[in-house]
Amino acid sequence: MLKVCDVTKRYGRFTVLEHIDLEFTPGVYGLLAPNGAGKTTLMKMLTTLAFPTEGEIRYDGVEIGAMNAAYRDLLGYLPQQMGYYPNQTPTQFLSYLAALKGMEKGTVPARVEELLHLVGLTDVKRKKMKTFSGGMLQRVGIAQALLNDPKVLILDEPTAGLDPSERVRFRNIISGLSKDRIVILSTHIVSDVESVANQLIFLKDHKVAGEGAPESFCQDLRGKVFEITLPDTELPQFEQTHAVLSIRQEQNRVHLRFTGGSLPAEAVPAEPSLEDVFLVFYR
Amino acid sequence: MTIQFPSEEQIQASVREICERAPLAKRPTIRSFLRDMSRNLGLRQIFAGTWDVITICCTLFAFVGVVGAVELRTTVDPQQKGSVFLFAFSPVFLFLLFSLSLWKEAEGPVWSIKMTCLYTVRHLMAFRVFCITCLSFAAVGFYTLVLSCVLDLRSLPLLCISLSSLFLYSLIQIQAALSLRSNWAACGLLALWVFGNCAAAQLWPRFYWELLQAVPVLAWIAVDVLLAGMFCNRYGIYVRRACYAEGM
Repeated sequence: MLKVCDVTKRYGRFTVLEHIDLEFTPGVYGLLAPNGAGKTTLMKMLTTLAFPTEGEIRYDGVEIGAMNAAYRDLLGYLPQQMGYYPNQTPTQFLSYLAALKGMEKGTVPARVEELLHLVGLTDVKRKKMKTFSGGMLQRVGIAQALLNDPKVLILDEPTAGLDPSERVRFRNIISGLSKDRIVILSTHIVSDVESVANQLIFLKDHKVAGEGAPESFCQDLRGKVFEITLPDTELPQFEQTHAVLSIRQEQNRVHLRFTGGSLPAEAVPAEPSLEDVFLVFYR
Repeated sequence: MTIQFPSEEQIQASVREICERAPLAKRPTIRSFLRDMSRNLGLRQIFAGTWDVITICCTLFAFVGVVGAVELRTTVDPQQKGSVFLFAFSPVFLFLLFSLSLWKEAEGPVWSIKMTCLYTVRHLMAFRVFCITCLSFAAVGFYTLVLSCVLDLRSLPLLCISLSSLFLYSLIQIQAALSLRSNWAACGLLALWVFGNCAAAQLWPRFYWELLQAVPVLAWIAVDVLLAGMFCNRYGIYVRRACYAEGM
């Protein structure tokens, strides 16, 4: 179990995270927050790239800084900006990182081959990475994070640059991996975590604003989200009195999802989605 | 009130339970570290992304070597100046390589991934220093022999002084890379070597020269071997299963 115990992180006088308490057991955790909310800082602390100013992070009761190499041996990490050496092929790059992850040389080629197949890069395994698209590089990044079969897999905005089919493939990979490991997925794209995360964590104002199963968040919002179609001239006035969650233009009319404010007679209740939850949280 | 103390079996069961936790099991020793790195990483991969830095270092080192040789030819006491020069500057190559490649790694794209691997950039740096030290022995040895032939100096003491300083310095550098969390602290510690030696030679030339003379050159090697032993031992002392259980 990975436990974040009363962690605060400050850079000088600026507090990035304040009194964070979290517990991670095997499963997929979606860390949702808008840009600049401290997601990456939390990810960095979970990967020992940064250390808490106050509090501790423990894995199975042992502080991860004290575990040092033993913790890194359990860790797989995909950073927000996936770095690579342009003149290396994905096979060379993964073999290089496998060596740094302390993997036995004999086991590396088969593992690299397996992972390249998993992320759909077998056809380009001998091409230099400088010729790769952003999505292909991201897939190399996902493969490198899985090299050592990590018990704690931390993915910082993993679907950035992936096209829709690649996103679906990625979600399927994550679902398959989550049985016996902790997967922490940081994103500000709600659809990335909607179908795969068992637990969601919302960060707001440097603190944990909410934590629980996706359904429980939607349940809380049930009966509070409505849809209505209005002439587009009435939209500015409506926006002043209601929290508009989405707008769809339909010729001279607009179809809105909204919450709060007085309920017009034409409004019909709508099933709340996780995106609605996110928008309500960060209004 | 009676306090129930745990029985010996309960204590042993608790120790076993704690020791079964995966994080306490694995602790690489210096030997396994060197073996893993040399077995799993080829020469090209050890220096991946830093070949330009190595080229710069080699060029600068060659330049320093030539300037040093020219300077020594014009001095009145080349034996003394040569010893000081070789003792202080043999590790310059390592210092340059260490600083520049660390800077390059820190600015490079793969830094955060490498820092979360079992063997981090620090381990990689330590291994690079180890490899370069081995290669430098040949280079510095050759340079010293050439210098001693050109200047008609006694080559063996010069050779021992330069090689032992290189070895001593690389040990400090490897230790700093593995032990210190801050890169700047490691670089600063290493810079002290060069500046300390230069300052001592400048401020107290007689004392410094006598020190170099007084200590038999093979004693340097003995000190180095002793330090190497301590280094290996220190690196190996960590929380292991047995230590942890005994500590309970």
